[in-house]
Amino acid sequence: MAKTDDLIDRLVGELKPVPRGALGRMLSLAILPGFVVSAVLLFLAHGFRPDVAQALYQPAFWAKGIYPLALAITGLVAMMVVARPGGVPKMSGLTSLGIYLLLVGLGLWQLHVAASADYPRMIFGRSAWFCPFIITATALPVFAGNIWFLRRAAPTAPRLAGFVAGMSAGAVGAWIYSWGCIENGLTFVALWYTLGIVLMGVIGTLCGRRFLSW
Amino acid sequence: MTQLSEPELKALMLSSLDGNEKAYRCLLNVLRLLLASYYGRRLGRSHAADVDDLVQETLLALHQRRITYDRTRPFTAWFYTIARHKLVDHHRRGGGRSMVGLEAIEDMADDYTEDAISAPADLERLLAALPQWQSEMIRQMRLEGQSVADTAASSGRSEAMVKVSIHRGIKAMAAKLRGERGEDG
Repeated sequence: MAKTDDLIDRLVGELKPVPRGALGRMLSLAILPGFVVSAVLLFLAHGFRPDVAQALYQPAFWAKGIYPLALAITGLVAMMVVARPGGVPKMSGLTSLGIYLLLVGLGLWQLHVAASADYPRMIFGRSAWFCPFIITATALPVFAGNIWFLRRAAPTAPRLAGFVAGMSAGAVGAWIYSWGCIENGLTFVALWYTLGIVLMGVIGTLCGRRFLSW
Repeated sequence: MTQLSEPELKALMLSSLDGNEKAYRCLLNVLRLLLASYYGRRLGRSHAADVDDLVQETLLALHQRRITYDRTRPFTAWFYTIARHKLVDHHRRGGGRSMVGLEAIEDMADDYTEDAISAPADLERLLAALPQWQSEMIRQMRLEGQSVADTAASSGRSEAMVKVSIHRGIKAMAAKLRGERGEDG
């Protein structure tokens, strides 16, 4: 019991004020370095898409960027939920599913109006075999930031927290990669981008117990 | 024991987050008692050292992770979620014997997180509804920890009678509690 007295003395001595919105600021602080590192790496190792000037006029280019960006924002909201004790981000899960289904709908419509000779290009493109792995690699620095953040927060479900950290990092990575990716098929994005993001989610789930138990 | 309710505890927490050391010391001292009774009830008397460790671990965790408290939400819910997390972790580290314990914790969790603070008051109310001799027996044996023989001697009834009466009394209390919660408890 005397030890508890000492502990309380120590904790009171260490007390520093926690301003409103401190958790959100900590998350931005955690994400930013990883984001910059990923963006620089992508620029150096892969480069922006060469035809970016023409791509700006294609709706598919925008849809391809908005999909991972919307998922990333949803993912960061989910991070804030899962960081608190007992937090289960159900709304973010449903929102992500909705965003995905919307993209699938747009992709099917794009296939519907295209000539069937274009299908292989729109579904597999030229980069299907490495696209998911580039996305996962681009996501890793952001993922490290997410884990750093969650270790200072209080997630009570470590696997779920790891999954959310992975998925949201994957979405940020996919968004960064979308600046360099040359594909225009939305079914391509729905398949291979999503695979890269989910791969990161699986890695996160596997890391959860190890890094996020407390 | 100090009995503070949600609004008071929350006020102490908010003022602690603003850096008020006096409020923080007061809060930690109250929470320490709540935790000792929370863990004591679940681990039993024979694990006093474990209870002490858990109390300290939980106070430390809530200190290090106080940034995750959402100022707009109830404090006790946040606090007991952390306490339960530490308890589950304790059972997990304890190994196999914990499975039954874990399920029981999950079952109890919903009842206890929000209501834990009013639990002593509930108990008194339920005991008051029993005949006086019966509630006295339950008090002596289950709350004060006296033996069957002592309780039998002080009530002037046989030991078998004491056991049966306590069993029936607790059943009656449980039935009353279920009735109040609309048959779903």
